[in-house]
Amino acid sequence: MKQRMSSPPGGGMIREAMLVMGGYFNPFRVMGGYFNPFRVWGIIPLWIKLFVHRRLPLIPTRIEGREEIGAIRARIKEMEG
Amino acid sequence: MSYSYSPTCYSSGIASHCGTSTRAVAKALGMEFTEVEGCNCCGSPLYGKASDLEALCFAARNLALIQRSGNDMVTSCSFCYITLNWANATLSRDEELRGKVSEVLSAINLDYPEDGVRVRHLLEVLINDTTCDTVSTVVKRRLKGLRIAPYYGPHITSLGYGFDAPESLIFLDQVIEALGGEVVPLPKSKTQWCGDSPLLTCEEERALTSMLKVLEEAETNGAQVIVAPCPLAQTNLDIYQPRINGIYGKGFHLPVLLLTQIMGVAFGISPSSLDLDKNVVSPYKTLSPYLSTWDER
Repeated sequence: MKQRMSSPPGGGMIREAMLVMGGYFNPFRVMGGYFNPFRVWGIIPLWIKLFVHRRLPLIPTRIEGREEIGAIRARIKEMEG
Repeated sequence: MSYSYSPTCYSSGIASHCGTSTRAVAKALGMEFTEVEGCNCCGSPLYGKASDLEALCFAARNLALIQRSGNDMVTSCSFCYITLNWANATLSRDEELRGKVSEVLSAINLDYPEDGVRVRHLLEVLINDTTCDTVSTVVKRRLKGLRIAPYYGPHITSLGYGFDAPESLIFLDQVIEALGGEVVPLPKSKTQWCGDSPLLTCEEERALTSMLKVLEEAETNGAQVIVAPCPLAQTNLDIYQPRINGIYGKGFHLPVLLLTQIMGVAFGISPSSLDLDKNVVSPYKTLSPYLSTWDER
């Protein structure tokens, strides 16, 4: 089977959200802005299950030195003009 | 042996049972994990398609932090494994990109290590460093009679940065045998696509169809549980099972465990230390003969 990575249409926004929220991936915050409303209805039971099983962190984990993430992006922007 | 270990995003959130069980099993096996603070999301798969330079810089930041500890890095996340290995390989062959990444990292006083950092998957470390013989000696409760389907997931072997040798695709089988379990092979679907990032896949139908094949093969072959070495593969098969049942009119109730969870069960580690209650499809009934403490959730 041909393997490929998924490339979400909201990639830029997700990236932004991931970085702003402390350098770690936080599914709860990210998926709200990503899903189309039709899909959200179907997937709500899944969110609830995850929440009940303590697997949907509402508060994002913040990594040590997360300001470095912003510095990296700023430097890249500078370099790319 | 000592290793650098960074709890990944998934192990700190949606698959937190991965971090908990990995630490518990490593302790039982006498593996010393030095936790590397400050690692960011490795970026896969979300950065991967956006900007190579940005993706490389974030992966290189992690590698630079890991290098400080001087040990090989161990991860149980197949995404981190391939992403960091991809970064190592790309930067070692592309001098121009390496120069750019070093320039970016210098802005935060970090250096990309000249020779990269050895990034290893926990499964490979278990086979090559710890060895199955050692695993066997730590087992307190052999999983005799438990029919376990080893599901490797797609990423551990894919994209040219994972387990390249076909013989690596028996590693999981070997660990299961060392635990005393009965391997139920999944010849058609052991590396089947799992849907990538849980909850974020934009190709849901394709993802669900793909996962359906794994579940169908496991059930047809008589598996009682599925074991995966990767938190993403495990999470997808676990949390999407009720949805697959609803959409395709199936009645699957196949517990999907992480490799470290099933190892912990065999090692006699308490279910709470393995976060078994975080599995959406409860494994308690199936595992009851093997659990050190029976507490029904």
